[in-house]
Amino acid sequence: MKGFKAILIKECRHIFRDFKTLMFVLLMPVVLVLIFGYTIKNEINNVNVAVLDYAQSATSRQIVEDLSCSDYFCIKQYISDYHQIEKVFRRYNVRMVIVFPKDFEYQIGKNRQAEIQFILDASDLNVATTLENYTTKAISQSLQKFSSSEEPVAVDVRVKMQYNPQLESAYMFIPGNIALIMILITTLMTSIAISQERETGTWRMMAITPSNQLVLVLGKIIPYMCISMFCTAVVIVLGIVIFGMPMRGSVALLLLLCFLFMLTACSLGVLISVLAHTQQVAMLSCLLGFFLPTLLLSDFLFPIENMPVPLQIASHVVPAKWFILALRDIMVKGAGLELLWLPVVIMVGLTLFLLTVSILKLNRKMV
Amino acid sequence: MNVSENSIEVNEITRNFGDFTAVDHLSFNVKKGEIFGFLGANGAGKTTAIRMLCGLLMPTSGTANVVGYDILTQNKEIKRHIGYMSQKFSLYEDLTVMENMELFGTIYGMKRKDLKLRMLNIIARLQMRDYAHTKVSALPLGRRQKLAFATAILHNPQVIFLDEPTSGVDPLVRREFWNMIYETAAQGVSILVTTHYMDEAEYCNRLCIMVNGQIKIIGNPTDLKRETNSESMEEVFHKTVNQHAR
Repeated sequence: MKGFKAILIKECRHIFRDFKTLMFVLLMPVVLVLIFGYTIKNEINNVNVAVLDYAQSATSRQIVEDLSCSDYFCIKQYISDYHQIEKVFRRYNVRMVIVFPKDFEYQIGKNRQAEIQFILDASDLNVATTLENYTTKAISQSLQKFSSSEEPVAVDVRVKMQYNPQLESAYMFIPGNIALIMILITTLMTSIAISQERETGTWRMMAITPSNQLVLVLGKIIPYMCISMFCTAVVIVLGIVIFGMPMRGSVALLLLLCFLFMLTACSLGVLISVLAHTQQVAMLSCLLGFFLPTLLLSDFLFPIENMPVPLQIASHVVPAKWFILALRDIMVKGAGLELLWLPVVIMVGLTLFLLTVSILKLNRKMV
Repeated sequence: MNVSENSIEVNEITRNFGDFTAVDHLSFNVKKGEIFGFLGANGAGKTTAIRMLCGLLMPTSGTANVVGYDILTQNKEIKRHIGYMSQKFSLYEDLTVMENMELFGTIYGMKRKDLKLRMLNIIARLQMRDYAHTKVSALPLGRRQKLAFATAILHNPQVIFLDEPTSGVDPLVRREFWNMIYETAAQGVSILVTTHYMDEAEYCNRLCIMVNGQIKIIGNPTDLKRETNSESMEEVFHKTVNQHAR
């Protein structure tokens, strides 16, 4: 145990003496969160919209007025002809045209139901989809208010954005960021640290001492585990304070899951460093073999439902996918273990698998 | 613990990597307090042999004892009683001289008091008092190699393996280094050293030359020179290697 402590102290000295790297590691979560928070925005703000109002009725004007009152839309143009739509898209940077048909008012009065057409610039699919959801909801609200002044029960609101009514993107990117940071710090840093020792020959020096392999590796990675848990906490706090992320579920469960994912990331880091002989190889394997799939297949930036089936199947073995899913459900929905047993069981399984493989490989190959 | 006068006894050890035989039925003994040289071209199997004797690698066949312990079953005990220093400088560069010694001493389970005393002793002997709290990366190469040797003998091992300890070091430092080796051997410690420098081969009590994983010639430098009709160790080496190389 004295040997373990000595190795731990040594590793902490390495970390604190490499001040630049330490600063990088501690500031990276903050920078990542801010970048994601302010650049990747799925929510809509001041989008240019044109209106083609054949109806020219009280209701249609009211709807347009309501839309223009919100922060989300900016009514840029009123047009009078279907042929102008193309021109408006091209010239005025308009993302959507709302078309009210001639018999709009009549249909509302008669059937309590009316058709409105949205023409969307779908060259940016993400914005288009979000915009459609937004507008549908905004118009429904507006209609409800309008008709309720005449009749108490009138139009039913069809769209409801459960749990995330403002479509806040923080709900997506905070859990995703936690996963990314865990991978960057735990997997990348441990695999680099271990392969660096193998490169310089100090690892063999250690292997020749009577101390146990497992003790050596544990002493080496525990400091990185602590740093990554600390960074995770920073991201969570930033998400809650700056980006209004809710925390509806159990904090203990959240931390437990973070710990579990960290173990996964750690065993991957050890595995990579066992297989890679140099720091560069270790780093590239981490980034290409683990970081990139996580980014693409974890449901963090790109929805998995839209992917081809083979990729959907592949995504099941990406640990971060289950981690992000579980985090999101805990924070946003307040889900407990009764809802999350599947992701938790899968994560435990993946962790045990990776831990076993990396320990076996380590024993066989380390010197 | 056995009472034999040999601290290394190697009996027909072989190690294959796939089809390649790195070490081929190697047998030799090293007595207590003896400096035994291991010569051979790169790839002759010296490092593989040392790794097996250190308990880092299992032989494919054969047996060996180091300090009376079996390398097949007791490698933990072996590790406790041997020291090792490799061609690559292998102390932690961003730790200070004292911190490095403290780390390795603690891992070998030395008592705090003993360790402290021994560290001060070594630093005095190496005349490195001014460098005690200097990071190792700031030391010149010669000093680093001497420090690495001192660290390898910190825990009073009975056998020391030196894998090309002096490569890249200037002649003056090499001379000092060999003085340290003699001093250590005089205390009854066996030393197994590999080297490329033929003048160093002359310093060994006994040596062997390896070609293709086998020992081709073994004995003390004077006998070897006589046997092969050579003037110098350099000549012995070339004759042996050329005769057996394919």
